[in-house]
Amino acid sequence: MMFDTIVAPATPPGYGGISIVRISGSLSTKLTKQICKRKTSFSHRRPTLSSVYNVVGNIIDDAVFTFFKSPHSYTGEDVLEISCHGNPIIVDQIVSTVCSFGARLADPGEFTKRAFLNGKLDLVQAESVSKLIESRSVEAANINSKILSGSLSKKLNTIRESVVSVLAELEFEFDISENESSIPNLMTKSSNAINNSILACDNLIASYADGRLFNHGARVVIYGNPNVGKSTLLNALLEKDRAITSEVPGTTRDTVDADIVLGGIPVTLIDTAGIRSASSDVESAGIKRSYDEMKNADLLINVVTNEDEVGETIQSKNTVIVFNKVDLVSPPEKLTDIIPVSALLGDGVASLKNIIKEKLISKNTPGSDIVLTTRRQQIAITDCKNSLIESLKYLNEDAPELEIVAFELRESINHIDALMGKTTVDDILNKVFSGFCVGK
Amino acid sequence: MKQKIIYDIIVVGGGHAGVEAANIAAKKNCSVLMITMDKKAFGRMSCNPAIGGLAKGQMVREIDMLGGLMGGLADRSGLQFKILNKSKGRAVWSPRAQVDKRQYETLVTSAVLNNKNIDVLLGEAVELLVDNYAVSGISLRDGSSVFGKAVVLTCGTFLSGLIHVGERKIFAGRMGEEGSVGITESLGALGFKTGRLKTGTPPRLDKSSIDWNKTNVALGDDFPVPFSYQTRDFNPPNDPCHTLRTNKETHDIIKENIGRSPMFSGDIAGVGPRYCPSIEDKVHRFSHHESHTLFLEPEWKNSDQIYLNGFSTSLPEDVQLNALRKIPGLGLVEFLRPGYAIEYDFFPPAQLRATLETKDISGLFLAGQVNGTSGYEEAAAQGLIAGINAALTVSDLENLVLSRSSAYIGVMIDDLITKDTLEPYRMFTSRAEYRLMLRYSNTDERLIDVAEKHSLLSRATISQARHRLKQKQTILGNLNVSIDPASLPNNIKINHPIPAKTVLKRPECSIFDFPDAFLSHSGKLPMWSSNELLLDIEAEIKYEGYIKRHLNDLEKQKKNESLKISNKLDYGLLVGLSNEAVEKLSFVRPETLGQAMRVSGVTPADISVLHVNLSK
Repeated sequence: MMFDTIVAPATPPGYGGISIVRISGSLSTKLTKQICKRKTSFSHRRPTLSSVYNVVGNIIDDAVFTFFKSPHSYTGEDVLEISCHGNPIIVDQIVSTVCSFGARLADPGEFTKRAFLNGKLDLVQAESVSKLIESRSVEAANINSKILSGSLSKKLNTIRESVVSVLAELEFEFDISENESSIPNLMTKSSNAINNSILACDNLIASYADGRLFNHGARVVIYGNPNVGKSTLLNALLEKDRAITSEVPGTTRDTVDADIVLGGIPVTLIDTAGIRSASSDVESAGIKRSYDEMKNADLLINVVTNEDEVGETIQSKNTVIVFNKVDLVSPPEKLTDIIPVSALLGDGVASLKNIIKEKLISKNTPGSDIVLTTRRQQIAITDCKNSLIESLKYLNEDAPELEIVAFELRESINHIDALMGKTTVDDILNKVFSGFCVGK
Repeated sequence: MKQKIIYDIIVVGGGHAGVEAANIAAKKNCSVLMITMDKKAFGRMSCNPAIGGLAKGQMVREIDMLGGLMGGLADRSGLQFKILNKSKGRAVWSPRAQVDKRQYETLVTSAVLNNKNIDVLLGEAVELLVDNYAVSGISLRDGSSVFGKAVVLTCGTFLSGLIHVGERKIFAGRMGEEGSVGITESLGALGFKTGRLKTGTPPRLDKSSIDWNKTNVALGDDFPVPFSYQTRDFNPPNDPCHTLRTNKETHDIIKENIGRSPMFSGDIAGVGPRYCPSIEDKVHRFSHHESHTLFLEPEWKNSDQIYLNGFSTSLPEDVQLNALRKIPGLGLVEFLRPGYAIEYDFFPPAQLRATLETKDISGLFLAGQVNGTSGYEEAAAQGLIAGINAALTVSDLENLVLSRSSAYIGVMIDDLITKDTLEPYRMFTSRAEYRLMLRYSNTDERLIDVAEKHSLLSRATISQARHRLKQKQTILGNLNVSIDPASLPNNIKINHPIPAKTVLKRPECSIFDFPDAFLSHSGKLPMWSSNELLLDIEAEIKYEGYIKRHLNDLEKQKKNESLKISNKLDYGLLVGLSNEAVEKLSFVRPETLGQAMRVSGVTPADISVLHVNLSK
């Protein structure tokens, strides 16, 4: 590719053991002479210790240089990584020196974008890079590294290939065969193949619920009457004192957020103001927020301390009922589906965590461990599936308009191609890569 | 001293491309000189005795609507007519005719010789005369020269033609006709890239040596449809063709001797067509098929020579004969001529503009097999476009470029000039992304404006065509009216009156289910024409939603198609373009951003780089 050379710190800003500056482009080799005062460039993939010099020839730092020769690098271009001492001043000096020799500061995600444009990654893989970096649990990281290694792309290619072969058979009939009698056979075969592809799409679409859960996490809202121990429960789940608790009803005026990871799912717990007729404007504003949070929740935890309150539980949502303060009051035996907890003593908190996890993971997840992780993927596969369903509808007519079947099959292929970046226009690329941090 | 004559247009070659080029240029009042090596071989059908067929039939219609000869002459020399693909959806319906070759050639010859604007010169063109990157004439083998303002080269397979029959090699243009040497070198010296392609033809059988009782009869349609809108009193014969099937014994003999086919032994440098494969190709590559269909086609009325469609081959004659004699019905078969392959020079067509004029030498047009295509229809269509544009260039008028959404011919030329030609190019419906709009039955509607603008048809013909299209609008209007449930057949159930159009969109409803009041029109059209009109209206209504999607796509593409790129643009200087794109774009030198998008190996990312640079 005829790209200019870009540079950026690849590690987060701040002080640390090591910081890494990454350079990609043809200057990666030429720069060596100037910033290392070396006559020869570094060997491919062999870390080498050298001093880094600034424009006037003074030493900035001693650093380890690792050179990756095109096309065997992340971006597919010549890449040089400089591991220097972890000081932002040193990093800044190196970056500005490199820039003064003709490189340019990279845009967010530009290294990965080049990897995509140079054919090192397809678009689905490229997306998974930022997801991998953002992963907040081992499970999420596993999902994303699988996609990065190409497992989702492989799956998409399988669907694509299957549709392409159905289309090829049809086009053979239109353009070459001159034989009218082979049609009924072909239709059964095509119809089976399309049905299988629809199923494959369905499985992927269903997997998005989990992919979304592990990547974006879930919002779990704790609500209930005042003074039932919601904030105490929050603290118990977090195993630290996050929210202020007291015996005075209405202590929590505003919603309080806190993040934990439950069974690999990043969960945001939200403690809300107790719901009652408010005694002040501040409290009523807090109660309004409680309702807003409940509307957007993936799961509600309704905290109760006596039998009567159970009846007021919102049934339509995915709700867990927690009977708190079992250290003071025994829960009524006739009530099922409630979790007895003593938030104060920590009794029952572990089993509550398990129940939250179980409730969050979708029931209809297929056996496959390949899951969709972005809305873009989900939309594309849904569009693909809809085109396949249309094609099948036409195929099943008495006297099918076969070229309409072909039209829809082409559309479904187009959706997959766009998803993988084979036919993607620039604005979509920019959208995909804009979510990246600089240096990736 | 004799005064130097300067023709408007010189056409080299009298095949399907040459004849259409000369004829249309003459029609546009140009003085035309046609150079041919054989005055008896105008419009010769050197391969199959048929015109039209899948995707090709649509092109014949287009040729007719653009003032070409092929459709009308095929109508007058056809032995049977058939619409192919009837069970596969109407956008892929394709007319085809079995044609009397001799009759067709006779009709073409008289069209050329009786045209007062065309002079015919017997000779062999060997060199192109070029003056400051503009063509000025042709040198002939005998040392003389002729002069013209534009030259259309349609040399077919004659350039350095080499025939292969098994291990035997013959320098020739067609079997029994001499090849031509010189033009390739002449163009090469001017900087043109050349390549080699091959094509094959099957054996011709002696009719009396075939046991006809063992064959199956294949007839044409009971209600035949002509190619040409201008054909009147259409009452063609419906002569039978016959079919046979190859068997395992035939395949075994071919497999045993496959090494003796020059195609497999590596003697032929050219690349052959993937979709019109030789029998050794079919046996080798589709070994899971136990049998292939062979068509026995008469070459002319009551012909003693039978064309064996489906058995194109370059195997030695004895192998061809032995393999065929294993087929019941061909046990005693004799050849009048064996099958053979021919290898010839072509000029990768990316060197042409969409007008078929070369990018580097002005006034020089290339058409037909020299551009790497295969087929009479492909050749004729190019000849026609080259002829029209040569005439327009000579008169300094705006050129004609057909879009991909208006004609198969547009698709073909755009493909030729943007895509790599790795094998002879044959037209397929699948090459047309706007296939649903390119029906054979709406050809008049698609091309009438172009035909009128460039005076390709007579005024009378145009007004007849306009009249027919007016009937279409009338009926389309009628169909907006609500229809009474009682007036429909029992299988179509509606509860209350709704517009006929809406009912017609149902799969179970055909336009012929409607009462005559909806379909009546004032036009005096032949039966076939009126029938076809109704079927096309039905197609248009049933496909309405899809055609709208096509039109939306087109609207989005419009900007790119009109964004011009300079012939001189240095792609190597554009930052961000892939190496492959630089290489491909530098060779093709697309005329518009739309063309650039279709160049093979160019990605959407490359296009946005190009776009940014063009907008600067």
